[in-house]
Amino acid sequence: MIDDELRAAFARHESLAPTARELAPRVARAVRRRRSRRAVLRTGTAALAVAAVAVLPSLGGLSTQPSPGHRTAGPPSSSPGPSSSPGPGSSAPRNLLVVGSDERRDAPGSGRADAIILVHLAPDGRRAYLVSLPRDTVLADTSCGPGRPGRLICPLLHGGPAAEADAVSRLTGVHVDGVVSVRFAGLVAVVDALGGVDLTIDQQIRSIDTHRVFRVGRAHLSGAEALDYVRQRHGLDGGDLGRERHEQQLLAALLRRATDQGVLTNPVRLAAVLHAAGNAVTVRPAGLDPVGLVRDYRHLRADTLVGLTVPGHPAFSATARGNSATFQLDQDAHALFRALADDAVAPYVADHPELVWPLGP
Amino acid sequence: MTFEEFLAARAPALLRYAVMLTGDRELALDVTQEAMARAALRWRRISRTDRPELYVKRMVTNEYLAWRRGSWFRRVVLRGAPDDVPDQPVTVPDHAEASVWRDEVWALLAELPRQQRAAVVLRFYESLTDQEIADVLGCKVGTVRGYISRALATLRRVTGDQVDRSRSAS
Repeated sequence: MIDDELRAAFARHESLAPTARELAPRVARAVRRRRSRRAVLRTGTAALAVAAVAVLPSLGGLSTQPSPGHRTAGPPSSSPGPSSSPGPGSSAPRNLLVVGSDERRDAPGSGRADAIILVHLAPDGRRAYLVSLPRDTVLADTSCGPGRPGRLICPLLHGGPAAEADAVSRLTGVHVDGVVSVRFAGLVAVVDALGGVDLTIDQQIRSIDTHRVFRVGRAHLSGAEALDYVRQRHGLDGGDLGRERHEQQLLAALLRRATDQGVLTNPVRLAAVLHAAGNAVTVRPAGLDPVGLVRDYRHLRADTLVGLTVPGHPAFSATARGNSATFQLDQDAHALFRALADDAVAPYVADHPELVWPLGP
Repeated sequence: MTFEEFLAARAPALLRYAVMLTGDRELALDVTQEAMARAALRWRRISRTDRPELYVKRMVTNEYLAWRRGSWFRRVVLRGAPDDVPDQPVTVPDHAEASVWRDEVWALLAELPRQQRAAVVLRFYESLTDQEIADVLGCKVGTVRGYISRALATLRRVTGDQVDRSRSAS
Protein backbone atom coordinates (compact mmCIF):
# COMPACT_ATOMS: atom_id res chain seq x y z
CA MET A 1 0.00 0.00 0.00
CA ILE A 2 2.60 2.52 1.08
CA ASP A 3 4.94 1.25 -1.62
CA ASP A 4 2.30 1.99 -4.25
CA GLU A 5 2.02 5.48 -2.87
CA LEU A 6 5.76 5.88 -3.07
CA ARG A 7 5.88 4.70 -6.67
CA ALA A 8 3.07 7.08 -7.55
CA ALA A 9 4.80 9.98 -5.80
CA PHE A 10 8.02 9.27 -7.69
CA ALA A 11 6.19 9.01 -10.99
CA ARG A 12 4.42 12.32 -10.41
CA HIS A 13 7.74 14.09 -9.84
CA GLU A 14 9.62 12.72 -12.83
CA SER A 15 8.70 15.91 -14.65
CA LEU A 16 10.97 17.80 -12.24
CA ALA A 17 14.01 16.17 -13.78
CA PRO A 18 16.33 18.45 -15.74
CA THR A 19 17.05 17.50 -19.33
CA ALA A 20 20.25 15.93 -20.57
CA ARG A 21 20.76 19.03 -22.69
CA GLU A 22 21.07 21.13 -19.54
CA LEU A 23 23.49 18.67 -18.00
CA ALA A 24 26.01 18.15 -20.81
CA PRO A 25 27.56 21.65 -20.87
CA ARG A 26 27.74 21.71 -17.10
CA VAL A 27 29.58 18.40 -17.05
CA ALA A 28 31.99 19.69 -19.70
CA ARG A 29 32.69 22.80 -17.61
CA ALA A 30 33.16 20.77 -14.44
CA VAL A 31 35.60 18.45 -16.20
CA ARG A 32 37.63 21.39 -17.47
CA ARG A 33 37.66 22.88 -13.99
CA ARG A 34 38.84 19.63 -12.46
CA ARG A 35 41.50 19.13 -15.11
CA SER A 36 42.96 22.55 -14.51
CA ARG A 37 42.78 22.02 -10.77
CA ARG A 38 44.68 18.78 -11.23
CA ALA A 39 47.29 20.53 -13.31
CA VAL A 40 47.66 23.12 -10.60
CA LEU A 41 48.00 20.45 -7.96
CA ARG A 42 50.55 18.65 -10.04
CA THR A 43 52.59 21.76 -10.40
CA GLY A 44 52.54 21.13 -6.83
CA THR A 45 53.86 22.35 -3.67
CA ALA A 46 56.11 24.79 -5.36
CA ALA A 47 53.04 26.49 -6.64
CA LEU A 48 51.71 26.74 -3.14
CA ALA A 49 54.84 28.36 -1.94
CA VAL A 50 54.75 30.72 -4.85
CA ALA A 51 51.17 31.40 -4.15
CA ALA A 52 51.90 32.19 -0.56
CA VAL A 53 54.48 34.69 -1.57
CA ALA A 54 52.35 36.10 -4.25
CA VAL A 55 49.22 36.27 -2.23
CA LEU A 56 50.28 38.97 0.11
CA PRO A 57 51.32 41.49 -2.46
CA SER A 58 48.48 40.79 -4.71
CA LEU A 59 45.91 41.45 -2.07
CA GLY A 60 47.03 44.93 -1.42
CA GLY A 61 46.61 46.11 -4.93
CA LEU A 62 49.36 46.89 -7.32
CA SER A 63 52.62 47.59 -5.75
CA THR A 64 55.00 49.06 -8.21
CA GLN A 65 57.98 49.87 -6.18
CA PRO A 66 61.24 49.06 -7.77
CA SER A 67 63.53 48.09 -5.01
CA PRO A 68 66.85 46.63 -5.80
CA GLY A 69 68.04 43.29 -4.83
CA HIS A 70 65.26 42.06 -2.66
CA ARG A 71 62.87 39.33 -3.28
CA THR A 72 59.31 39.31 -2.37
CA ALA A 73 58.37 36.90 0.20
CA GLY A 74 57.88 33.73 -1.40
CA PRO A 75 58.48 30.95 -3.66
CA PRO A 76 57.85 32.80 -6.84
CA SER A 77 61.25 34.19 -6.81
CA SER A 78 63.38 33.34 -9.71
CA SER A 79 66.27 31.31 -8.65
CA PRO A 80 66.52 28.50 -11.05
CA GLY A 81 67.42 25.24 -10.41
CA PRO A 82 68.13 22.12 -8.76
CA SER A 83 71.78 22.88 -8.73
CA SER A 84 73.08 23.95 -5.38
CA SER A 85 74.83 26.94 -6.81
CA PRO A 86 72.68 29.99 -6.93
CA GLY A 87 71.44 31.14 -10.21
CA PRO A 88 68.40 29.89 -11.98
CA GLY A 89 68.81 27.93 -15.15
CA SER A 90 68.19 29.73 -18.35
CA SER A 91 64.71 28.29 -18.53
CA ALA A 92 63.72 29.42 -15.06
CA PRO A 93 60.91 31.92 -14.95
CA ARG A 94 62.14 35.42 -14.40
CA ASN A 95 58.98 37.44 -14.18
CA LEU A 96 55.89 36.37 -12.33
CA LEU A 97 52.75 38.38 -12.04
CA VAL A 98 50.94 38.22 -8.74
CA VAL A 99 47.35 39.31 -9.06
CA GLY A 100 45.13 39.81 -6.03
CA SER A 101 41.50 39.80 -6.98
CA ASP A 102 38.33 40.59 -5.14
CA GLU A 103 36.60 37.64 -6.76
CA ARG A 104 34.13 35.98 -4.49
CA ARG A 105 33.80 32.26 -4.30
CA ASP A 106 30.12 32.37 -5.17
CA ALA A 107 30.69 34.52 -8.23
CA PRO A 108 33.53 33.04 -10.27
CA GLY A 109 34.94 35.32 -12.91
CA SER A 110 33.69 38.42 -11.11
CA GLY A 111 37.09 39.47 -9.82
CA ARG A 112 38.87 42.68 -10.66
CA ALA A 113 42.61 42.99 -10.30
CA ASP A 114 42.89 44.81 -7.02
CA ALA A 115 46.58 44.24 -6.54
CA ILE A 116 49.09 43.75 -9.33
CA ILE A 117 52.67 42.98 -8.45
CA LEU A 118 55.32 42.07 -10.95
CA VAL A 119 57.91 39.86 -9.28
CA HIS A 120 61.23 39.96 -11.06
CA LEU A 121 63.73 37.32 -10.05
CA ALA A 122 67.36 38.14 -10.49
CA PRO A 123 69.38 35.61 -12.49
CA ASP A 124 71.57 34.77 -9.50
CA GLY A 125 68.52 33.47 -7.66
CA ARG A 126 69.28 35.49 -4.56
CA ARG A 127 67.32 38.64 -5.08
CA ALA A 128 63.86 39.52 -6.22
CA TYR A 129 62.24 42.81 -7.06
CA LEU A 130 58.62 43.51 -6.29
CA VAL A 131 57.17 46.08 -8.60
CA SER A 132 53.67 47.23 -7.75
CA LEU A 133 51.71 48.35 -10.76
CA PRO A 134 48.93 50.73 -9.71
CA ARG A 135 45.61 49.20 -10.62
CA ASP A 136 44.49 52.51 -12.13
CA THR A 137 47.44 52.62 -14.54
CA VAL A 138 46.14 53.72 -17.92
CA LEU A 139 46.14 51.17 -20.71
CA ALA A 140 46.00 53.21 -23.88
CA ASP A 141 45.14 50.27 -26.11
CA THR A 142 42.12 48.97 -24.23
CA SER A 143 38.94 50.20 -22.66
CA CYS A 144 37.16 49.25 -19.46
CA GLY A 145 33.81 49.64 -21.10
CA PRO A 146 31.95 52.26 -23.07
CA GLY A 147 33.39 55.68 -22.36
CA ARG A 148 35.83 54.44 -19.75
CA PRO A 149 39.57 54.55 -20.19
CA GLY A 150 41.41 51.24 -20.09
CA ARG A 151 43.04 50.55 -16.73
CA LEU A 152 45.07 47.64 -15.36
CA ILE A 153 42.24 46.71 -13.02
CA CYS A 154 40.01 45.57 -15.90
CA PRO A 155 41.61 42.84 -18.05
CA LEU A 156 41.30 40.23 -15.31
CA LEU A 157 37.56 40.68 -15.21
CA HIS A 158 37.15 40.57 -18.98
CA GLY A 159 39.70 37.95 -19.94
CA GLY A 160 41.07 36.26 -16.85
CA PRO A 161 44.69 35.98 -15.66
CA ALA A 162 46.02 35.45 -19.19
CA ALA A 163 44.52 38.75 -20.32
CA GLU A 164 45.96 40.49 -17.27
CA ALA A 165 49.42 39.09 -18.01
CA ASP A 166 49.03 40.16 -21.62
CA ALA A 167 48.10 43.69 -20.61
CA VAL A 168 51.09 43.92 -18.29
CA SER A 169 53.40 42.60 -21.01
CA ARG A 170 52.14 45.17 -23.49
CA LEU A 171 52.41 47.96 -20.96
CA THR A 172 55.90 47.14 -19.74
CA GLY A 173 57.52 45.17 -22.51
CA VAL A 174 58.42 42.57 -19.88
CA HIS A 175 57.60 38.99 -20.74
CA VAL A 176 55.42 37.49 -18.01
CA ASP A 177 56.32 33.84 -17.43
CA GLY A 178 53.50 32.99 -15.10
CA VAL A 179 50.57 34.39 -13.19
CA VAL A 180 49.67 33.62 -9.61
CA SER A 181 46.15 34.76 -8.87
CA VAL A 182 45.06 35.03 -5.30
CA ARG A 183 41.59 35.62 -4.01
CA PHE A 184 40.95 37.21 -0.65
CA ALA A 185 40.21 33.81 0.84
CA GLY A 186 43.55 32.53 -0.43
CA LEU A 187 45.49 35.21 1.41
CA VAL A 188 43.60 34.56 4.62
CA ALA A 189 44.18 30.81 4.33
CA VAL A 190 47.87 31.12 3.61
CA VAL A 191 48.51 33.53 6.49
CA ASP A 192 46.56 31.34 8.88
CA ALA A 193 48.36 28.22 7.67
CA LEU A 194 51.62 29.94 8.59
CA GLY A 195 50.23 30.75 12.02
CA GLY A 196 49.83 34.44 11.32
CA VAL A 197 52.34 36.99 10.20
CA ASP A 198 54.49 39.63 11.92
CA LEU A 199 54.31 43.02 10.36
CA THR A 200 55.45 46.54 11.14
CA ILE A 201 52.52 48.95 10.96
CA ASP A 202 53.99 52.18 9.61
CA GLN A 203 50.99 54.42 10.14
CA GLN A 204 47.99 54.17 12.43
CA ILE A 205 44.93 53.37 10.42
CA ARG A 206 41.34 52.48 11.15
CA SER A 207 39.74 49.95 8.84
CA ILE A 208 36.72 51.34 7.05
CA ASP A 209 35.46 47.77 6.67
CA THR A 210 35.77 46.41 10.19
CA HIS A 211 36.64 49.56 12.21
CA ARG A 212 39.63 47.64 13.51
CA VAL A 213 42.45 50.01 14.51
CA PHE A 214 46.00 49.14 13.48
CA ARG A 215 48.50 50.95 15.70
CA VAL A 216 52.05 51.84 14.77
CA GLY A 217 54.62 49.22 15.67
CA ARG A 218 55.14 45.50 15.34
CA ALA A 219 51.97 43.48 15.16
CA HIS A 220 51.11 39.82 14.83
CA LEU A 221 48.20 39.56 12.42
CA SER A 222 45.88 36.67 11.67
CA GLY A 223 44.81 35.98 8.10
CA ALA A 224 41.65 38.04 8.39
CA GLU A 225 43.50 40.91 10.05
CA ALA A 226 46.26 40.86 7.44
CA LEU A 227 43.68 40.98 4.66
CA ASP A 228 41.85 43.81 6.38
CA TYR A 229 45.12 45.72 6.78
CA VAL A 230 46.35 45.45 3.22
CA ARG A 231 42.97 46.36 1.78
CA GLN A 232 42.89 49.77 3.47
CA ARG A 233 43.85 52.77 1.42
CA HIS A 234 41.72 55.66 2.66
CA GLY A 235 43.64 57.88 5.02
CA LEU A 236 46.97 56.31 4.12
CA ASP A 237 49.90 58.46 3.15
CA GLY A 238 49.96 58.09 -0.59
CA GLY A 239 46.47 56.55 -0.74
CA ASP A 240 46.54 53.67 -3.17
CA LEU A 241 50.34 53.82 -3.30
CA GLY A 242 50.40 53.36 0.46
CA ARG A 243 48.29 50.29 0.06
CA GLU A 244 50.70 48.91 -2.52
CA ARG A 245 53.50 49.45 -0.02
CA HIS A 246 51.56 47.50 2.58
CA GLU A 247 50.97 44.70 0.11
CA GLN A 248 54.65 44.37 -0.54
CA GLN A 249 55.42 44.51 3.17
CA LEU A 250 52.96 41.72 3.75
CA LEU A 251 54.57 39.67 1.00
CA ALA A 252 57.98 40.15 2.56
CA ALA A 253 56.61 39.29 5.99
CA LEU A 254 55.09 36.12 4.55
CA LEU A 255 58.40 35.11 3.02
CA ARG A 256 60.13 35.81 6.32
CA ARG A 257 57.59 33.76 8.22
CA ALA A 258 57.86 30.90 5.73
CA THR A 259 61.67 30.81 5.86
CA ASP A 260 61.75 31.18 9.65
CA GLN A 261 59.52 28.16 9.97
CA GLY A 262 61.41 26.21 7.35
CA VAL A 263 58.26 25.89 5.28
CA LEU A 264 60.05 26.33 1.99
CA THR A 265 62.48 23.52 2.70
CA ASN A 266 59.97 21.19 4.33
CA PRO A 267 57.80 19.54 1.70
CA VAL A 268 55.18 18.50 4.23
CA ARG A 269 54.77 21.98 5.67
CA LEU A 270 54.83 23.47 2.20
CA ALA A 271 52.12 21.10 1.03
CA ALA A 272 50.01 21.98 4.05
CA VAL A 273 50.27 25.69 3.29
CA LEU A 274 49.49 25.12 -0.37
CA HIS A 275 46.58 22.90 0.52
CA ALA A 276 45.21 25.61 2.78
CA ALA A 277 45.17 27.99 -0.14
CA GLY A 278 43.07 25.53 -2.12
CA ASN A 279 41.59 26.92 -5.27
CA ALA A 280 41.66 30.44 -3.86
CA VAL A 281 45.16 30.55 -5.28
CA THR A 282 45.79 29.47 -8.84
CA VAL A 283 48.91 29.33 -10.95
CA ARG A 284 49.06 29.77 -14.70
CA PRO A 285 50.23 28.39 -16.97
CA ALA A 286 49.47 25.04 -15.42
CA GLY A 287 52.85 23.81 -16.60
CA LEU A 288 54.63 26.23 -14.30
CA ASP A 289 56.21 24.03 -11.70
CA PRO A 290 55.97 25.59 -8.25
CA VAL A 291 58.21 22.99 -6.68
CA GLY A 292 60.93 23.70 -9.16
CA LEU A 293 60.45 27.39 -8.58
CA VAL A 294 60.88 27.05 -4.87
CA ARG A 295 63.96 24.93 -5.40
CA ASP A 296 65.45 27.36 -7.90
CA TYR A 297 64.87 30.30 -5.64
CA ARG A 298 65.49 28.70 -2.28
CA HIS A 299 68.19 31.25 -1.53
CA LEU A 300 65.71 34.09 -1.57
CA ARG A 301 65.26 35.79 1.77
CA ALA A 302 62.84 38.44 2.88
CA ASP A 303 65.68 40.86 3.55
CA THR A 304 66.92 40.59 -0.01
CA LEU A 305 63.55 41.52 -1.45
CA VAL A 306 63.40 44.97 -2.97
CA GLY A 307 60.03 46.70 -3.07
CA LEU A 308 59.61 49.26 -5.81
CA THR A 309 56.99 51.71 -6.89
CA VAL A 310 56.56 52.77 -10.50
CA PRO A 311 57.31 56.38 -11.43
CA GLY A 312 54.05 58.10 -12.21
CA HIS A 313 51.35 60.35 -10.84
CA PRO A 314 47.65 60.20 -10.14
CA ALA A 315 45.52 61.89 -12.76
CA PHE A 316 41.93 62.39 -13.60
CA SER A 317 40.68 61.52 -17.01
CA ALA A 318 37.56 63.24 -18.20
CA THR A 319 35.21 60.60 -19.51
CA ALA A 320 31.67 60.39 -20.72
CA ARG A 321 30.76 59.31 -17.20
CA GLY A 322 32.58 62.06 -15.37
CA ASN A 323 36.07 62.11 -14.02
CA SER A 324 37.82 58.84 -13.61
CA ALA A 325 40.80 58.38 -11.33
CA THR A 326 43.75 57.07 -13.27
CA PHE A 327 47.46 56.66 -12.79
CA GLN A 328 49.72 58.09 -15.48
CA LEU A 329 53.17 56.59 -15.87
CA ASP A 330 56.09 58.96 -16.15
CA GLN A 331 58.63 58.59 -18.94
CA ASP A 332 61.03 57.23 -16.37
CA ALA A 333 58.75 54.26 -15.79
CA HIS A 334 59.78 52.89 -19.14
CA ALA A 335 63.42 53.02 -18.09
CA LEU A 336 62.44 50.81 -15.14
CA PHE A 337 60.57 48.42 -17.42
CA ARG A 338 63.57 48.21 -19.74
CA ALA A 339 65.80 47.45 -16.77
CA LEU A 340 63.41 44.64 -15.80
CA ALA A 341 63.40 43.22 -19.30
CA ASP A 342 67.19 43.42 -19.50
CA ASP A 343 67.83 41.94 -16.06
CA ALA A 344 69.57 45.16 -15.12
CA VAL A 345 67.44 46.35 -12.24
CA ALA A 346 70.20 46.83 -9.68
CA PRO A 347 71.88 49.79 -11.46
CA TYR A 348 68.50 51.39 -12.06
CA VAL A 349 67.52 51.06 -8.44
CA ALA A 350 70.86 52.50 -7.33
CA ASP A 351 70.04 55.58 -9.40
CA HIS A 352 66.49 55.84 -8.12
CA PRO A 353 66.51 55.26 -4.35
CA GLU A 354 63.30 57.30 -4.08
CA LEU A 355 61.37 54.46 -5.71
CA VAL A 356 62.38 51.89 -3.10
CA TRP A 357 59.95 51.06 -0.35
CA PRO A 358 61.03 49.77 3.04
CA LEU A 359 59.72 46.23 3.39
CA GLY A 360 60.25 45.57 7.02
CA PRO A 361 61.02 43.57 9.18
CA MET B 1 31.36 2.89 -25.12
CA THR B 2 32.82 6.38 -24.91
CA PHE B 3 31.93 8.70 -22.07
CA GLU B 4 29.98 10.91 -24.47
CA GLU B 5 27.87 7.94 -25.55
CA PHE B 6 27.30 6.98 -21.95
CA LEU B 7 26.30 10.52 -21.06
CA ALA B 8 23.85 10.75 -23.94
CA ALA B 9 22.30 7.39 -23.18
CA ARG B 10 22.16 7.45 -19.40
CA ALA B 11 21.88 11.12 -18.42
CA PRO B 12 18.06 11.29 -18.47
CA ALA B 13 17.70 8.28 -16.18
CA LEU B 14 20.43 9.48 -13.83
CA LEU B 15 18.89 12.94 -13.65
CA ARG B 16 15.51 11.44 -12.76
CA TYR B 17 17.20 9.34 -10.12
CA ALA B 18 18.93 12.42 -8.70
CA VAL B 19 15.61 14.28 -8.56
CA MET B 20 14.08 11.44 -6.54
CA LEU B 21 17.07 11.54 -4.18
CA THR B 22 17.26 15.28 -3.69
CA GLY B 23 13.70 16.38 -4.34
CA ASP B 24 15.17 19.46 -5.96
CA ARG B 25 15.78 20.18 -9.62
CA GLU B 26 18.89 22.36 -9.21
CA LEU B 27 20.40 20.13 -6.60
CA ALA B 28 19.82 17.15 -8.88
CA LEU B 29 21.70 18.95 -11.63
CA ASP B 30 24.58 19.79 -9.28
CA VAL B 31 24.87 16.30 -7.90
CA THR B 32 24.70 14.65 -11.33
CA GLN B 33 27.14 17.13 -12.80
CA GLU B 34 29.72 16.47 -10.10
CA ALA B 35 29.38 12.71 -10.38
CA MET B 36 29.57 12.79 -14.18
CA ALA B 37 32.63 15.03 -14.14
CA ARG B 38 34.38 12.62 -11.80
CA ALA B 39 33.32 9.73 -13.98
CA ALA B 40 34.63 11.45 -17.13
CA LEU B 41 38.09 11.77 -15.61
CA ARG B 42 38.13 8.09 -14.67
CA TRP B 43 36.14 6.84 -17.60
CA ARG B 44 38.65 4.36 -18.94
CA ARG B 45 38.56 2.42 -15.71
CA ILE B 46 34.84 2.75 -15.16
CA SER B 47 33.97 1.61 -18.68
CA ARG B 48 35.81 -1.65 -18.04
CA THR B 49 33.62 -2.55 -15.06
CA ASP B 50 30.69 -4.92 -15.49
CA ARG B 51 28.00 -2.33 -15.15
CA PRO B 52 29.25 1.21 -15.62
CA GLU B 53 25.78 2.55 -15.00
CA LEU B 54 25.62 1.05 -11.54
CA TYR B 55 29.05 2.44 -10.81
CA VAL B 56 28.00 5.94 -11.84
CA LYS B 57 24.75 5.59 -9.93
CA ARG B 58 26.87 4.89 -6.92
CA MET B 59 28.86 8.07 -7.59
CA VAL B 60 25.64 10.10 -7.85
CA THR B 61 24.45 8.55 -4.60
CA ASN B 62 27.70 9.37 -2.86
CA GLU B 63 27.52 12.96 -4.04
CA TYR B 64 24.04 13.15 -2.58
CA LEU B 65 25.05 11.53 0.70
CA ALA B 66 28.11 13.74 1.03
CA TRP B 67 26.58 16.99 -0.12
CA ARG B 68 27.72 19.69 2.23
CA ARG B 69 25.09 20.41 4.80
CA GLY B 70 25.52 24.13 4.63
CA SER B 71 24.57 24.47 1.02
CA TRP B 72 22.03 21.72 1.36
CA PHE B 73 20.12 23.50 4.09
CA ARG B 74 20.21 26.81 2.35
CA ARG B 75 18.15 25.43 -0.46
CA VAL B 76 14.44 25.22 -0.30
CA VAL B 77 13.40 21.64 -0.43
CA LEU B 78 10.64 21.22 -2.91
CA ARG B 79 7.70 19.78 -1.17
CA GLY B 80 5.30 19.40 -4.01
CA ALA B 81 1.74 20.24 -3.21
CA PRO B 82 1.45 20.33 0.59
CA ASP B 83 2.74 23.87 0.96
CA ASP B 84 0.38 25.06 -1.71
CA VAL B 85 -2.61 23.38 -0.27
CA PRO B 86 -4.83 25.41 2.03
CA ASP B 87 -4.45 24.60 5.67
CA GLN B 88 -8.09 23.95 6.31
CA PRO B 89 -9.26 20.37 6.61
CA VAL B 90 -9.71 18.68 3.34
CA THR B 91 -13.34 18.47 2.40
CA VAL B 92 -12.92 17.81 -1.28
CA PRO B 93 -13.78 14.51 -2.91
CA ASP B 94 -11.81 11.38 -2.24
CA HIS B 95 -9.54 11.57 -5.25
CA ALA B 96 -8.17 15.00 -4.36
CA GLU B 97 -7.94 14.00 -0.75
CA ALA B 98 -5.86 11.03 -1.69
CA SER B 99 -3.50 13.10 -3.84
CA VAL B 100 -2.94 15.52 -1.01
CA TRP B 101 -1.57 12.92 1.25
CA ARG B 102 0.33 11.33 -1.54
CA ASP B 103 2.23 14.55 -1.93
CA GLU B 104 2.67 14.42 1.78
CA VAL B 105 4.62 11.25 1.03
CA TRP B 106 6.93 13.26 -1.24
CA ALA B 107 7.42 15.92 1.43
CA LEU B 108 8.12 13.29 4.05
CA LEU B 109 10.87 11.80 1.92
CA ALA B 110 12.83 15.01 2.47
CA GLU B 111 12.79 14.42 6.19
CA LEU B 112 14.16 10.88 6.06
CA PRO B 113 17.82 10.32 6.81
CA ARG B 114 19.64 10.40 3.48
CA GLN B 115 20.62 6.73 3.47
CA GLN B 116 17.02 5.73 4.09
CA ARG B 117 15.78 7.94 1.30
CA ALA B 118 18.41 6.58 -1.08
CA ALA B 119 17.45 3.01 -0.22
CA VAL B 120 13.75 3.75 -0.75
CA VAL B 121 14.40 5.42 -4.11
CA LEU B 122 16.60 2.56 -5.27
CA ARG B 123 14.00 -0.02 -4.27
CA PHE B 124 10.75 1.64 -5.35
CA TYR B 125 11.88 3.92 -8.15
CA GLU B 126 14.87 2.15 -9.63
CA SER B 127 13.47 -1.31 -8.76
CA LEU B 128 16.86 -2.66 -7.77
CA THR B 129 17.29 -5.82 -5.74
CA ASP B 130 18.47 -5.60 -2.14
CA GLN B 131 21.87 -6.88 -3.24
CA GLU B 132 22.19 -4.20 -5.91
CA ILE B 133 21.10 -1.53 -3.44
CA ALA B 134 23.72 -2.78 -1.01
CA ASP B 135 26.32 -2.46 -3.77
CA VAL B 136 25.28 1.09 -4.58
CA LEU B 137 25.18 2.20 -0.97
CA GLY B 138 28.28 0.24 -0.06
CA CYS B 139 26.66 -1.55 2.87
CA LYS B 140 25.33 -5.00 3.73
CA VAL B 141 22.01 -6.38 2.52
CA GLY B 142 20.71 -6.49 6.06
CA THR B 143 21.45 -2.81 6.46
CA VAL B 144 19.53 -2.05 3.28
CA ARG B 145 16.49 -3.90 4.63
CA GLY B 146 16.78 -1.99 7.88
CA TYR B 147 16.88 1.36 6.05
CA ILE B 148 13.82 0.49 4.00
CA SER B 149 11.72 -0.89 6.82
CA ARG B 150 12.47 2.09 9.04
CA ALA B 151 11.68 4.52 6.21
CA LEU B 152 8.41 2.76 5.46
CA ALA B 153 7.47 2.73 9.13
CA THR B 154 7.99 6.48 9.32
CA LEU B 155 5.99 7.08 6.17
CA ARG B 156 3.16 4.81 7.30
CA ARG B 157 2.95 6.37 10.69
CA VAL B 158 2.83 9.95 9.44
CA THR B 159 0.61 9.41 6.43
CA GLY B 160 -1.66 7.27 8.55
CA ASP B 161 -2.06 10.12 11.02
CA GLN B 162 -2.72 12.44 8.15
CA VAL B 163 -5.48 10.28 6.76
CA ASP B 164 -7.06 9.94 10.17
CA ARG B 165 -6.96 13.69 10.65
CA SER B 166 -8.50 14.53 7.32
CA ARG B 167 -11.17 11.90 7.75
CA SER B 168 -12.21 13.08 11.16
CA ALA B 169 -12.26 16.64 9.89
CA SER B 170 -14.55 15.97 6.97
